[in-house]
Parts: sequence; structure tokens; C-alpha cells
Amino acid sequence: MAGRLRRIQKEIADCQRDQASLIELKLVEDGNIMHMKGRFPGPPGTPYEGGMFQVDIVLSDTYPFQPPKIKFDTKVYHPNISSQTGAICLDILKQEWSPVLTISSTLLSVQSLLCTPEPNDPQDAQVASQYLNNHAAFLETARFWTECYAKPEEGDILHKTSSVSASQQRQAGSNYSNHQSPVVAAARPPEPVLSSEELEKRRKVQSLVDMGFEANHVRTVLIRANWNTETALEDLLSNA
Amino acid sequence: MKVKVKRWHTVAIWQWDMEDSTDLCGICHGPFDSCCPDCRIPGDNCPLLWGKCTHCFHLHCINKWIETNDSEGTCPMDRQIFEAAT
Repeated sequence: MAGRLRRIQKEIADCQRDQASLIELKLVEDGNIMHMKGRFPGPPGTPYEGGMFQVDIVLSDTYPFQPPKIKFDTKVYHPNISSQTGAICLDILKQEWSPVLTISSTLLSVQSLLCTPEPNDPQDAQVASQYLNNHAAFLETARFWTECYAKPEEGDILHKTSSVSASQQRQAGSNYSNHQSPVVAAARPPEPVLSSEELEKRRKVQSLVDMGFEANHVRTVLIRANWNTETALEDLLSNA
Repeated sequence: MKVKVKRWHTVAIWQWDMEDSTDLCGICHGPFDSCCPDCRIPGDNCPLLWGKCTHCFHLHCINKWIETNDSEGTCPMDRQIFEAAT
């Protein structure tokens, strides 16, 4: 018992000490090291770039002989992650678990799952089929979900690291406050000029929001329907 | 000068006969020279076990893993069937 706790304590301490690590671990409540939250940035070059993703981690009494139970708290649009529950389909969280894996090495695998979706072994069949059949729409939705649900918080790694990529810097400047340049953050950036296409999309979103549907959900459904308002409305009504 | 030894006090240290016995067991993350989490005293009662794959663990740690259904008898490091080196 005590020995198992020692390994877990050591894992948390190692992860917090590792300056190069972009993975952050925090206990949910003091005194209970079996339940924690992990946060990590979306990998560059993916539709998850610029977002910070949070996972819920629960260790069982049999850890490390059984895998930790990990699911996303942040909504993620990905073939191997349930868009409803955040459940993750990843072999090392199930039959391929090994006791030499650690919480942080497991989170690295979860992070790299964001780079390499496996649409043929889906957790979310609807997302997976869109990934295969309408990749552009998949990317658009995934990007939109990142922007919407995975916003970095004050004190997140994305804010304090100096090695953020150029595009993250750009996003940091336009979408949320940037620690490195408080002056820029203080003066709110001008509203970007929207393309006529984006204006048209917003008009469609608004028309469905006016009917009482939730804006983020409307946008997701519209992307899935290739921006056909009628198809989207049918979808919304059939799932209502 | 003649020296007469009246009494002596011997001190010995021991370590496992391996390349780096301060290395850690991959399962419990404790040093090999220390014992597994369930034992109190390191030494012969909490020995190490090498596999034919050359990976080494505390005997008690690897046993606990092999006894789980999910392990399917494999080495935690390389997923080959774990067989004790003789």
C-alpha cells in the first residue's frame, strides 16, 4: 500500500519538476493522490493546435498493474474520442497497458493520438466516417471545437512557454491575452474582417440559433451538413 | 612497533551483482538494491529476477504483474513472453 503511493507521489513530483515537459498534473483534492487532472497543449500542425486539453485521471487500487482510467474533460472532435463522453479509444489504456508505463508517458500517448487518428478503430463512429469521407469538414469542426472548448486558461503552459510556434503566437495575440506583450493584450485587437463566406456561415448559424438551438452545437451540425441549412435543421430536430 | 589487536568490528555492504544496482525496478520505481513495496528488508527475501529478454525486476513485482490476466505472461518492457533466465 505505502509503496504504491510512493511510486505515484514520485511520478507526480517528477512530472512537476520536469521543466521541459508540457504536461501538467494537478490533484483534484488535497490528500487524494488517486484522482488528478492532466493538461497538455494540442500538437502543432493539427486542428488541435492552440488549444489546451484537460483529461480526468483516476488510479485504481491495483495501479500500476491496471491502467489509469483516463477520459477527456475538454470536448474533442476526434475519431478515437467520444464527442459525448470524452472516452478515449487507445490500446495502452486497455489491453496493451504495461506497468512500466507512467501517468506522464500515458498522457504523451494520448497527446500523440491527437496527431494520428485511427478512423478504422473508432470511438465515435460519426466523427470517424466524416474523417474518412469529408476530411475538410472534419478539419473545420475539429478546429472549431478547439477554438470553442479548449481555450487556454490563465497560467497554462501555452501562456508561459517561450517556444510556442509562430501560429500559436499569432492566435495568442488575437484570441486571448498574451503574457509576453501586455501592451498588446491591453489594447484589444481590431475585429478581423470577415470573408463573405464566413458572414454567410454566421448568418446560417444565427438563423438556427433564433429557433432556440445552442450556437456551438448548431455550428457543428452545419459543418457536418456541408452548410446546408435544411439538412442541419433535420439533424437538429431528429436529435432533439 | 608491535601492535596488538584487542578486538575488531567489521562492516560490510552488499549490492546485487549487476551493472548498476542503483537502477530502478521499472514496476515499482524503487531501486533494485531496495526491496519491493510489500517487503521491509532488502536482501535474499526480496530477490531480483532476470528474464531471458535481459530485463530485470523485483521478483515480487514481476510476479504480481504475471499473475494479472491482462499481462498474458509478457515482459512489461518488450511484451515478449517473460521467461526467467536460468
